[in-house]
Amino acid sequence: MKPDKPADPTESVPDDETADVDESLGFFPSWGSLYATVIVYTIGLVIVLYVLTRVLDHSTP
Amino acid sequence: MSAVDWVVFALYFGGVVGFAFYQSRKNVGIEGFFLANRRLGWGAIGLSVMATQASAITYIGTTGQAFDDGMGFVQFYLAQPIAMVILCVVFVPFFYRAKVFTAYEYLERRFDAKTRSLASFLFLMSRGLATGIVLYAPAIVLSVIMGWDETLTILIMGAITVAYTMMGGITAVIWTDVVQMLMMFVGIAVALIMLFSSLPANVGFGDVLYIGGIENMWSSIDLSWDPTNRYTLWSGLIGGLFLSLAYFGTDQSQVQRYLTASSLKQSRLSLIFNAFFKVPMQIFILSIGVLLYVFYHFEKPPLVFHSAEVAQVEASDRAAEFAELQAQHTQVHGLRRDATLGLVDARAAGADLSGFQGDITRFDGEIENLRTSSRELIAEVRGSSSNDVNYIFPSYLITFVPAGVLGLLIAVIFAAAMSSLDSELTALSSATVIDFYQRYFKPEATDAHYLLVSRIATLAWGVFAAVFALYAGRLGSLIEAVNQVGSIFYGSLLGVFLLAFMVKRATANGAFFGLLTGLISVMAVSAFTDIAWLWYNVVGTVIVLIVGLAMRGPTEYSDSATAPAR
Repeated sequence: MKPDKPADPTESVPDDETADVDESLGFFPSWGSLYATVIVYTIGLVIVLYVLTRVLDHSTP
Repeated sequence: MSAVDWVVFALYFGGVVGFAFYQSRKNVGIEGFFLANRRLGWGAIGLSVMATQASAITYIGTTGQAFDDGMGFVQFYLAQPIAMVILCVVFVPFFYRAKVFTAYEYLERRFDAKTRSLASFLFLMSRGLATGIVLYAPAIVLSVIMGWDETLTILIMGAITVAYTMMGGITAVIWTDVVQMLMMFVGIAVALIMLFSSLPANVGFGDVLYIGGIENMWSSIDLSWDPTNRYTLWSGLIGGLFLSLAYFGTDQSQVQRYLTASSLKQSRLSLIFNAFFKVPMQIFILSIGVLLYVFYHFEKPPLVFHSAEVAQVEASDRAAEFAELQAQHTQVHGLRRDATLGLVDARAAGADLSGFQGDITRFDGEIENLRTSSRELIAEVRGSSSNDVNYIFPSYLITFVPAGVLGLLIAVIFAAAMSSLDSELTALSSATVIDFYQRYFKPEATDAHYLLVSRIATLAWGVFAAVFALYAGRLGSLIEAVNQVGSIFYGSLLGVFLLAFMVKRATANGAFFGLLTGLISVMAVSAFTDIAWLWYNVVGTVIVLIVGLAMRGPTEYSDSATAPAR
């Protein structure tokens, strides 16, 4: 049901699982580029919503 | 509902429940029941993560909230994509590698049994209460649609959901979630299309944006730093980041999802999927609420959307007062509708809008005052507070949506609620069985025994949730209530996991007493200050980290210094 001996959960991630950090993920050359895209996407969302907030504010004629 | 609606409702609802039972055949042993034998892909997990968070509450509570307050609630979700990246980098590798059944099991490997047990207990309390609210949400719809008593509805819904959850296990839950989530996308699109098509023919998209903007309903970014303001960009980015990290990183109902992945890559991709699609989905759902607000400038809304409360006050000796308020409401709405139509015409003609706009603003204020007076009157009659925010969208559905579509939308709401509920029941069951029953009472039983106990635990949590659900209606907006309950516990839980992952000198006592101190601090902040609830997560996390760092040991943690869990 469970592994006989659990892996040390606090040591750094072993090679077989860090190996995928640099692997290609479709359009993205690596995990790092995918994460960076998410950050840029979030900043873009905030900017777009802020612009819409200003543009669509008709509380004063 | 018409016969067509009932047929659509029965087909979809029966199909989902039948599918869940069909999937229950695949449960072989406790690892299959709780973790789908760790073989699922990112697409199914990603949709399930999304579906678990977005239940019927999302449709009912969020749309009602947007109708009342506009789009500001979206700020609560803006940090979620960033949280997903942090989870992928920091949390997921630890959980995935440790091959744990529950997130809290990991804490015993890193710290000790008491820290694990306390963390798991806090999860059980917070999620158990939140599950009650999740169960209450669809009961609202039934009470409005069919006039059923909410108590009876809660009990019936709870019984059906618990029954198939006990049989289905996580595999059935996740695949059912996939279907539910796709149907939710369809439901959102249908609701938006229905609302647009219900507007007068001469009202265009630009008019909708303008009318919503008169009361600043499209405002989604608030840059103020007022900590008592519920939703600002800063409370969303900071408090929301902490809440998202805590919810997706320490709540078993989400951790359990990505523990079912066939690889670390699949786990991460399921979260990245949510990073891209969650916020747009919330924007569309909130837009439904703002569109409702605009729609009711042309169609007369009920003065009070909770029909059962209206019936109650109309049967009381205060009925004449309520009738007078309704008469005033009808009159003011007529004036507001005329002013709104005048504004639409003026926009088309390029004429001056200020007169119409001033009238609309004034009538909006008068209608809001009438709604407030009505709520106060109802509260006096009932002897308890009145809140109809969760009835706004269901009320629109039964009044304006055509036959067939109504059945589909009601089915989507119900099935989404049930798929969230079964996810949470499975998580509660796993924490109960793995973190307590197996850990303290029966460490060496057979798989069949644990499977039986897991199903019994699912039933017990279903009963607990049903009892709490009976009181959920007094908590105001459901979506807020769920997150407020969670925020009491989440920050402290996040703090202890951050200690585990990032502070190698953190000790078991530091983690345990940090967790206790954090929890007490958040409760004190909640009881004695007006700080908005999103900040509770920050307070809890920071307190735990401070205590944990103050009590850190002289040497770094190493494997040999810690006993394995079992």
